[in-house]
Amino acid sequence: MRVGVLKPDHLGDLILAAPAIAALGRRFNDLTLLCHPKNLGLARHLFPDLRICPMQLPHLDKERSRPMQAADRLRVLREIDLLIGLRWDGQCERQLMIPDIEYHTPGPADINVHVAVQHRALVAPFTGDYDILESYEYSSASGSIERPRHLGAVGLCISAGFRLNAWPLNHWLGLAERLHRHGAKIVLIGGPAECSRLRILKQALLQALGYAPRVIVGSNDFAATLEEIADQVDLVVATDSGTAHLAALVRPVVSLFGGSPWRRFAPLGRNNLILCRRVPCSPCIQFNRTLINTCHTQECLSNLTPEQVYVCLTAYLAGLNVPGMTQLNGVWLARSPWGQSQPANAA
Amino acid sequence: MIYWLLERVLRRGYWSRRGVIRMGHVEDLAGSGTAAWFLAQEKARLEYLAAKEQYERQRSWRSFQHLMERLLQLQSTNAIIQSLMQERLLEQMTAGAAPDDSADVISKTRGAA
Repeated sequence: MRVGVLKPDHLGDLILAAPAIAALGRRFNDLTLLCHPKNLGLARHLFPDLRICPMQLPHLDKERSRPMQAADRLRVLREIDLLIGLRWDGQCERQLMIPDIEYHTPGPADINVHVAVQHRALVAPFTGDYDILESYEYSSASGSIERPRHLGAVGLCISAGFRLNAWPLNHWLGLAERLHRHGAKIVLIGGPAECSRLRILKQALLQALGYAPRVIVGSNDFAATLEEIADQVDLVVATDSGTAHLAALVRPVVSLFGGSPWRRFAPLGRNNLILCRRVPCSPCIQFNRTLINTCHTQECLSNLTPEQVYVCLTAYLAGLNVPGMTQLNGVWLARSPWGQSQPANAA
Repeated sequence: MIYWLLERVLRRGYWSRRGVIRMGHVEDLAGSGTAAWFLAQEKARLEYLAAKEQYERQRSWRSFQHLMERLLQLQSTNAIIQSLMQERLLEQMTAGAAPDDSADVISKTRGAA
């Protein structure tokens, strides 16, 4: 049986799906991963033994610049007998449903369930249960995802897949100044879309810290980017973005979440931490398909201050245990994915 | 009239507190680059939002005054950065434009005068 696994969305989503894809790869010899054309490089890097095909759907294409013809989609689908949809919605159904293929798709998404947990529930009938944090291991870089006790260097990952997820540059600057005062070296991390913001921040840091921090800009050479992150920093502080998920493969990540549903999209990793304010309107209705978001203030992230983040970071380094959710200095701390990583029968 | 009344009632001088409100770092903006404009603009917005949230949490006269000051600072920063952007744009337009006859017009006008 020729099996296809569908993951045609964004970079971070592909990384969050890695445990399920790895489990399916162990189960099926002839597995094809269908992913967004922009993610082909990453998919080949993460899963060098899988057959990988491009699959682009208009509603999941942020740039809307690479239209894939229906005939091309059909050609890919004709080579598959069973399609497992790690991403599935009404648009996927309309564009990808054809006769002669067996489909295995998830039910409605629940923003309180981590996406990797949902993937496991979907693929477990084929693969059996697995530990999400053990299923896929990235081994190409020399990184360690252990919680550091002391910060030699901190990566500030300013990238944000959606504008709503961006933390203000002034706050990054304030956090960098605090970390610098306590002896940490600052490294800036971002994706190609953040080059201008990285330049502004680097210039401001040159004045504030007295040196221009190293800047790591993610590229299609994922091995080199991850090697550089692993080499240069002990810990990454990040907003919700693909680059943050990428960094979580090699280093522990402290994530700053505002409007996006952190319970669903927290980066995978045993020592990752989530910081959020849990304002009454979170998760943001941006993630609702039927309502219009008119928020222009984004207080969920704008009013998460550098001082608050620094206090949480210090507590994290000191070994603060976060069993469920803990409040510290007005900020909520949580670990991901909240004890849901192990199989149900092991819990 | 009120000050006069207060003076009469209290039998001492009363000084209005109207006067200078500090505008933060906006005076430094003119000599700085676009990166600084970006940060100043963002900072003014963040300070206003923080003051707004503080006021919503604790509705005191003091927090309201703080909110209004931050709003005024934000408006001032908006106006200054907007002006600087327009000046920069006009300068670029002027530099990029082919030599036109405006100089002639000026000289002719002067000559005529």
